[in-house]
Amino acid sequence: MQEIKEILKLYKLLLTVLYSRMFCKNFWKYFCLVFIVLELIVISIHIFSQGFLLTRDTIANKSKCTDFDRSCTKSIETCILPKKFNKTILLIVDALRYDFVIYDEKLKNELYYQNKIRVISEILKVHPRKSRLFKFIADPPTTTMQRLKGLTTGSLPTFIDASHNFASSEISEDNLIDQLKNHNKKIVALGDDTWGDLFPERSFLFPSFNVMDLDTVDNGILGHIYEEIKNKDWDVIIAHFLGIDHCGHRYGPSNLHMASKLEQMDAVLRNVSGLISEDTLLVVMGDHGMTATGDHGGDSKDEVETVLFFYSPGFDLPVKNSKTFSSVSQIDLVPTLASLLGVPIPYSNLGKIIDEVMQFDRTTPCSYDDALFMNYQQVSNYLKAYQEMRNEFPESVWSELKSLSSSVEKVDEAKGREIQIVNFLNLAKSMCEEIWAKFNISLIIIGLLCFAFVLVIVGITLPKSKSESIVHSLRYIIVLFLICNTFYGISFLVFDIRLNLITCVVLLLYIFYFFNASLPLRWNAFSVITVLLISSGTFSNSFVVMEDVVIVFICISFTTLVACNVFYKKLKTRVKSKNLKWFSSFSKWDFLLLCCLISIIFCLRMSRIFLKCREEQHWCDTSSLVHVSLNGLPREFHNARYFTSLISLVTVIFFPQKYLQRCGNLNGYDINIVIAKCFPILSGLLISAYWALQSVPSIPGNIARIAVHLPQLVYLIMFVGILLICYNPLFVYILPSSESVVETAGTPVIPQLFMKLKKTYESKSRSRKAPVVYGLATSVSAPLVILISLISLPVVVITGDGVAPGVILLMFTGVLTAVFYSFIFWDIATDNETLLLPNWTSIVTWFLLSIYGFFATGHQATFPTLNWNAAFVGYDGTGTYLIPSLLLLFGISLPLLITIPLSLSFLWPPIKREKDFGETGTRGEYLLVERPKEAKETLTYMAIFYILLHSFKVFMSCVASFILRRHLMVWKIFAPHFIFEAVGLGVTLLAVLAGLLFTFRVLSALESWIYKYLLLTVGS
Amino acid sequence: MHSKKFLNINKIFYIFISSFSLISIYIKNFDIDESIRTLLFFSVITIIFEILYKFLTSFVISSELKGKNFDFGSYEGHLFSKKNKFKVLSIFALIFYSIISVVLTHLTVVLFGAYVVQDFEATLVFSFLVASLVFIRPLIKFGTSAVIAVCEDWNWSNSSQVQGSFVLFGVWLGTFVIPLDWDRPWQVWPIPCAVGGLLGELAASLALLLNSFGKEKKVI
Ligand SMILES: [Zn+2]
Ligand SMILES: [Zn+2]
Repeated sequence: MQEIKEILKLYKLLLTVLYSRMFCKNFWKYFCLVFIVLELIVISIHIFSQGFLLTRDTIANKSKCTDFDRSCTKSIETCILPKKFNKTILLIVDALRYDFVIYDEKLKNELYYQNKIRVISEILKVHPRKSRLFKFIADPPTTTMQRLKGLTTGSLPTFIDASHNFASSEISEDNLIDQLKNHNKKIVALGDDTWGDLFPERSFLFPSFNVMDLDTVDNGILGHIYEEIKNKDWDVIIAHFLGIDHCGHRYGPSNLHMASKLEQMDAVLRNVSGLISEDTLLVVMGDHGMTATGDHGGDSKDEVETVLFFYSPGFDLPVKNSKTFSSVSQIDLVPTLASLLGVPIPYSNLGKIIDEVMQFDRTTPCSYDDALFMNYQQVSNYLKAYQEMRNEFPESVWSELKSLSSSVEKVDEAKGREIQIVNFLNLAKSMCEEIWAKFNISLIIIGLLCFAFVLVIVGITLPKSKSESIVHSLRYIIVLFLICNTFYGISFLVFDIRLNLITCVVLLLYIFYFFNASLPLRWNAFSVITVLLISSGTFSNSFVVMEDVVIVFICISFTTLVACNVFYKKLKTRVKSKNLKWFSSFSKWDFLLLCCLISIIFCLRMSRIFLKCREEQHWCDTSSLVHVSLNGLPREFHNARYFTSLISLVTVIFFPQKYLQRCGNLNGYDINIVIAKCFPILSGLLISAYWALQSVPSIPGNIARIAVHLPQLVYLIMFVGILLICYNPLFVYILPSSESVVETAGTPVIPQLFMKLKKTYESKSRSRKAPVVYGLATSVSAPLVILISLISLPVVVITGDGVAPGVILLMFTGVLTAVFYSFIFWDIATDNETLLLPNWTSIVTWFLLSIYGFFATGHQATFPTLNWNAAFVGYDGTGTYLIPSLLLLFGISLPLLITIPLSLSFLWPPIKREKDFGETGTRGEYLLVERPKEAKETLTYMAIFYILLHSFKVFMSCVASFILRRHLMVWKIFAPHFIFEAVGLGVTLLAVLAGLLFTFRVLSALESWIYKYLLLTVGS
Repeated sequence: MHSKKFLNINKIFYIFISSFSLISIYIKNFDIDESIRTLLFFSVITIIFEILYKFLTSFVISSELKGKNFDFGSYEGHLFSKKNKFKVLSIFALIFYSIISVVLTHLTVVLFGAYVVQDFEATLVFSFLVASLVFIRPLIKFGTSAVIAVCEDWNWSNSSQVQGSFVLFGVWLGTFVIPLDWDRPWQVWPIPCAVGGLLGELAASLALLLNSFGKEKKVI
């Protein structure tokens, strides 16, 4: 007991020493605040995404004949149920709403879409025992891709079907088409080229992207289908007509064009049904309906009700008694067709065979009851396997399913099982729908509310006046944090995330108690408007698709506006002084500021070369010179590109070094200075060797193995460098002999090489020696610059040599922006007090740059444009998936390069003005070390405000995703956009924290160094 | 007083000509070639009008200055009162500055996102329109000291300020229509920005007119 106490005391002592060595006084308060804000935001987004992102795992197993109880087929030589039909024609008419095919002769004033398709009603009347019509109910999302997946697998595809091929739409689960192929059926597909995506290797497909075109696909099908039918060598024909869907999108259902399209369909169905023989089954269906405006995607009645029609001269069904048509779920098609065509029911199916088309011959062995039992076996196996894998079925429902299952197994006779099996299948389907197809609205709302409240609380923490500290209500925030996380944790243990409603209420109470309606310190209307403008773009699909171009435009506009404002004020004052020769009174500063502005705009404009195209930008041509890997380029471009990449590499290595040398930060022989000089060059050499090897199309095995290690070395260098810099972030150098007092007159623009350290205890000191210190004016920014140059090299190697110049351009734009604002601030500020205050315009510009940075380095917010090559830089394909995932994440986290050095936007680069600052103007960043409290306050303010900006944008993205959750493009545009934003926000939050921590470390190291140094000089 | 009538004629003319251009673009269904022609026509008419107006007013002033102490009661008055020597050199300087302003506007438009090579003619015509409304007008009106006229505190009667900023704002707003995927003919470059600029001009002239009527009321 005693020893444990001793050990604990020791640990405590160690931690205190470490803490006080590492960080400055009160550092933990600022860190706590930023960390709590971060954590609460992450929790809110997590709650939201639990409700919004529907996920489903796919199981790649395929059904085999041996999976089923084939007691009835033993006498017959087939795999499973004997097929009823040799051939099948599946006519899929996209967006064929149910009421389009109903013929009502008593209807007066028929609308354009009514009574145009007559053939179905005619066939039902003339051949009631050979045809059946059903109301076909689609499961949301009623988008064509998801519906086709559902129609072929029998399952409920959701947004994130976690499958092998994440970025493509290929189906990896077992499906009807694969089963038919495996049983040697010849399939012909006609129509929409989506089928090419779903099942690669097809015939007669036509591009379907242009929604305005009503006829190309349909006429293309009609050109081939009749011949194909007459041709005898097929088993299955699939034809997917798009005219009605395109007509709906373009004109809506109540329209002359729709009427003519429907009549065309009527003729097609008439012809096809006339051509088929007894051994052929014709199935006509729609994949979803359409709203009154012709769109689809949601779950309204008009969108989910479509048509299912069976016809075959070989059918012999019992006569229907009722006049009404029953409803059938879309997932029921797959088991029905599988049973009718004699193939095993696909593994992931959740549907139930449609009894009305199965009950036609009870005398043969293997009838409806056997088919139903096989259906039950398949679903039961699938659910068991899924539950074992994911364990996400609710306990109560699962146990009920198990009891139904056992009662089915108990009954021996086929007849008695029917009701139990039907109950089982219905319950299974509704359980899966609950999990996979329905948004959890209450969770979404709770998440949104929590997020909104946290943002308001963050806004409240921003100080309203100079005297208010940003951590003034820290203890209440800590209490808030503890309560919220307690409930969040409990909700996990109890598996009921709705408990977080209490979290919401607690946050709201906090707001009520602490709300202060006054505006934060130094707020700025234009910044607010710009942020609102950018964040509201997420509500329009055009603006999300064009986000890359819109953001660069707003960035340029904002910077120009700031500059114009500055110039306008200056001109006004000069004009007021009646100085007509306004042009000559332009000082060198103004000219430099103008140059800076023009360079920033020019860089931003040039960076558009590196933008990547996304699918919806159909005018866009991805620059193949930039985005193709080196060995994919034609030979003549290899050299040009390699040398461009080399030049950018050299720039990013040598410019920081040159700059730091001029500032005097790279003098001396400390380990960190050696690192700063050597590590980047080392990494650069490794990277250029790696890229040179990449250009060779096929390299021998042993060299390939070495090539993989080159990036790994670069990563190692980065980590070691960062650790050592954190350990010793001092980049100042005192001349050994302090005999001479050197006065300097540094150039106005560049920080001084020499810094005279003024003794504040002059009166008490005996010696009049003032030491010469190199690099004090940039002592806070130098470590950050070196940190960034260390991080930029792995970033450059991961994003690849094509985009490397884009990365360098982005960093250069960041530097120019910092210089731009530095010119403005050091000019506007009249004393140290204003200099040390935070500024909204520069933080907003960094925010804009960091968002743009994602696009400017060749990324887009869609999954198909993910650069998978990034995951293999330095990864040889073995071992855990963690490494490539981290690499991939790092590859899209380019804004790190803008976010980590956020502190640089404050007072860097320090510019000396010949103004009435007194000597304080010459201290540069040393000002921050002298005024630690103000420095910490402002740095934390900047970090919190920056977090607020990014979080607000993501919040609006969440709201937009929620409101537009049943929009046609939600899974294509809005949901991926939300995911990328949320992941980017997570990385940004961590980067802000890391950058802030690092800056505090530098400040405290400088503080203790100065203190120690002063002690020494005073003492001597 | 003659001056006020003159100034109001100025604004009424601009209201008329910009409405006319907008309507003619609309009638031709935003056909791109016709619209470009209309914009070119508008810019040229603007410049010619300004030159004529300047001649007319300076003639009127010089003939009236011979007697009384003239009070214009409006903003531009104090600049008119200077003697305007029509040196040939200053005319060349004006032309030179005008051409520079068009070139700079074109460069700015390209920097802000217009294509460098594609649609060059359209961009040039558009830049000419914006430059003539925002830069050339004050240049003609005030000569080479135009900057001084514009760089004062914001004043609703200062027509150069009001017109210039409204036109620029209209042009900027117009760009937000371009990314939308509505496939309309008026989304083709440079129509949205040009129409925005014309609408801005219209609004500015109306505002200036209302402002001068309001001032008159106050006087009365
Ligand atoms: Zn569809
Ligand atoms: Zn559609």
